[in-house]
Amino acid sequence: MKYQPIPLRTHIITDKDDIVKVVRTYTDGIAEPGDVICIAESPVAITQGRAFLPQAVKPSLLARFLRHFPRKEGSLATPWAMQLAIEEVGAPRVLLGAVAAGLGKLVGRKGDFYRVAGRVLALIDDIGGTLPPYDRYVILGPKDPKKVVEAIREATAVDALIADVNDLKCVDILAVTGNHDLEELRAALRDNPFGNDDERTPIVVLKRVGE
Amino acid sequence: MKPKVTNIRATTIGPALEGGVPFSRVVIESTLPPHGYTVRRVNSKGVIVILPGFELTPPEGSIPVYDGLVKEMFLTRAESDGVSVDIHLEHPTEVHTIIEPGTPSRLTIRLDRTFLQGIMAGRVVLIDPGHGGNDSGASGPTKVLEKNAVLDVGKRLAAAVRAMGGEALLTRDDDWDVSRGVRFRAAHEGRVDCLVSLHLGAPGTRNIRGTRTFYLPSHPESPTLAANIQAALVQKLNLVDRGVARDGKHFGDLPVPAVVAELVCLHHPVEEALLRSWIFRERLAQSLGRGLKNYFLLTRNGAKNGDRVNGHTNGFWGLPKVAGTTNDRCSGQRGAPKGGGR
Repeated sequence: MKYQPIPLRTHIITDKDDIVKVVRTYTDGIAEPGDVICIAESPVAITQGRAFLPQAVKPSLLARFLRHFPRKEGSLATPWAMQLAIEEVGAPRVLLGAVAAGLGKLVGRKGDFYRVAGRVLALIDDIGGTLPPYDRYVILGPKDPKKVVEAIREATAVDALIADVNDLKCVDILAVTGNHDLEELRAALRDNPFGNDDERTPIVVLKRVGE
Repeated sequence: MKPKVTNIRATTIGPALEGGVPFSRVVIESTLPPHGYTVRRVNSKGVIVILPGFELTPPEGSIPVYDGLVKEMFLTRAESDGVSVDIHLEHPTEVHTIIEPGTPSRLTIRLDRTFLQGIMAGRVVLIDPGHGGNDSGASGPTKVLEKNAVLDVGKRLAAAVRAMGGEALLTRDDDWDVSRGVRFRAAHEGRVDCLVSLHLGAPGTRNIRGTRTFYLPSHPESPTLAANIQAALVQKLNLVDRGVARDGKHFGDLPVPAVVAELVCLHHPVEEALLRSWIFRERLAQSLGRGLKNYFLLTRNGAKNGDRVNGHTNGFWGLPKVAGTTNDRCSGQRGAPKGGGR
């Protein structure tokens, strides 16, 4: 195996935190050049003020209508998540995505909504989709993930990535610095070292342990 | 540079894995193997692990676990030099430690859960996921159905009870309705030790949230069962505590302790959304399992209110005692709060 994950337990990261400072503090003396610092996407978004309590969101009529169409297990099943999706990419794109999803269903194809409306909407975590205490929030995907990983690389001299990993072993790397074999990075994160429950390990250092 | 503790976590290993002995496992991860560590017992329900010469990366403080054996862990910088992990237990138990070198290095503290098997062995719990089939029960704002949510929690609770060494019977294990007579036959015949009926609050308004537990007044141990289940739900899940109340209508008379756990309020949009997460449903089931274990611990010697069982004073002023607490936190017997319905 080329990388071994070291999960780092942190405090509860909030919108008062600077994600670059947080990463630098917790990885100091642990991550070194050659390693990759991985950050879960939700904490990055939280530090960017992109986590919303339902009472802070006023769903429009369109959001209330459209939220009936996604699967109940999906990310846009509540009116608040749908409203935030509309605000994120605009009502026309969400409507076009909904039309595309409807047509896709007719031919048995999945994923057309996100292909048309925008991949950023697939990063929305609806209520219950994140770990406590943020399981009561709707959390958008992080803004400018490439800039964030570059700032972390600058501050720590170690490559960094932001990833969305779920308990179904799906790993979506949103941004990464350096030249790495993405498949190896995905394999190292597949067991979700960020945790599925309340482990509170949003930062993981992938240690290079040999070729 | 000093070696660092990077993470601490607790997991539960069931009897089906690793040699047939169930145990809780506290794992302390670090950048180097902690060869100079010490383990010290503090009274019968505390273990302190010291890692001299180590720095602490995670923040100091409490990490709640509530897995039935490990209550919580306290992570602090040791007074001299190093890191201290203070493990608070609900019951005395055997402690074994193992160092696993690697990246990261791991110090594993294995805490024997066989004691819990002793509490649960021979206990039969009748788990009743409410509604089913054409009877969907309540429906949430995004159409999560009560019958589906409680069925999933019920199956998970049955697995949790079995993992602790008890026996679990489900009144239904799929989406079908069961007549009241069939549903509670095992309880009426006294073939089970208790009945836990799973429902969701449906108060008809989006403003009420939280968990509450009703008990059947026809059996004297029902309030104690309800209080322990309610306490476990509130502790683990940080839910609003709507208290314990009596309910004589739901089952009629039963010869065994019986409760109705209204896990959360389905009409509350946030609580409905939480129910869509399998992690939340699993945590509900684990909490219910822990509540049952605490109840059986208190009553295994036939204790009644006021009796002393294994160091726990069993209630005062006629209120049921909750295992593992110094104060009775049961709000029971004061009548049901407004709202709710099954």
